[in-house]
Amino acid sequence: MSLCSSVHTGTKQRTLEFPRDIIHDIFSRLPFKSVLRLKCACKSWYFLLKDPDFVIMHLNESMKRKDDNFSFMICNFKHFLVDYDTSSAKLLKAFWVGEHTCLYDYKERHSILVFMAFYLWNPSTKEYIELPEAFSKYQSKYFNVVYGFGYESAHDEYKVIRIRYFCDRVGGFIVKCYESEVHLYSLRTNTNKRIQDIPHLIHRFSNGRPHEYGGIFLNGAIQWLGTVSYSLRIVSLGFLLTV
Amino acid sequence: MKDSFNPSIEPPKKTVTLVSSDGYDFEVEEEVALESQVIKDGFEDKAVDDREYLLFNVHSDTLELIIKYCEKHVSSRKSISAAAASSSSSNGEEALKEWDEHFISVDTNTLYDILMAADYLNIKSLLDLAIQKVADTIHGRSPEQIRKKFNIENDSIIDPWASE
Repeated sequence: MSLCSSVHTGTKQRTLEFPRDIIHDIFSRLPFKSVLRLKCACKSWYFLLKDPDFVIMHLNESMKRKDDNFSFMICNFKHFLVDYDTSSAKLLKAFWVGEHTCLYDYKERHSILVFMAFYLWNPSTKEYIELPEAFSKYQSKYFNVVYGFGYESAHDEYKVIRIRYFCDRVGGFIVKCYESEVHLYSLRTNTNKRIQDIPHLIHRFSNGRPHEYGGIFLNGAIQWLGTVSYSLRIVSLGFLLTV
Repeated sequence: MKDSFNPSIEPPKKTVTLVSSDGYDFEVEEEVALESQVIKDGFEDKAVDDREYLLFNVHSDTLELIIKYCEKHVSSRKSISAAAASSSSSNGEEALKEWDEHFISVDTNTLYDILMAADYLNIKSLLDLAIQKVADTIHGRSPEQIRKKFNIENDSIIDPWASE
């Protein structure tokens, strides 16, 4: 792997090739945000920055520097959660980006990110909690997850709704769908509650960006677009958090 | 020669010849050359009259800068430890830091040459300085600015995670 830049010296064009470990060293001195920007600079940097060796090195360096208390890093479909206060980096469950990963930036009210890997994170206070795993009778089956995050003012409670759609797949195609399973999580009690299934299929819209599975919190309810079973009729679904 | 920094003992001035990639000879004091870990390793095994180093990867322009850096650091260390010995107050370390900062404020090409030479010669403090300078250059710049600064071809991949 070499740095892809070339520089003109007078009339002569010269290629600047940094050894790989030097580039690692340079990039690992940059904060997370700068590193994310570097991914867009050129192709070889993009691939370099996805290298698991680099990710680990960057985590360790930024932990030493303590330039931020907290960070997520994503590499080869793996999520790393870094807690600088306890100086620990931990590998979260692996999911396929775009398929099973959701990142929902709830900027409007409390800037809380909901991670598909069932973490709730508040970037302002740097606090996070891991949501308890919701029991499911279809553990071994494939499933897609959609979720929403919202605030219920009546009880001053934050809630996360997770809907899992279970299915069988053959070669990447869904061949059979089972029912949905809906869990409601309450931040106050830190518990999950299974609630009534929904007959609607919630879609991933637009360009496959990861947060599209997240519902939008509006007027006290989490809103999605969906269809009735597999028909083409699109309906707007609202889930009232007071349920 | 490991304790050559004891200021009370003045070692005799021995010299080493460094030859740049374009064939120029640089005669430097031994202790200056020993700033390079590569030269230091196996230095004692070399015959005294054979202390000539061919630096195939370092151009004379760069070698001149590298020698300047090493000379400064050797002399600064001496004056710092001398000041410590006489327990007189000194801001030697801060002054050296300032000097370093000024030294490394060069154009991208020169910075690259210094970095590569420091890596090749294994001069840890200089390599660290150069790497930090490159990182500082990149920090806070947009991809477009970085491409311009380093003259990188734009073949970027759109990465949804890179958006803010």
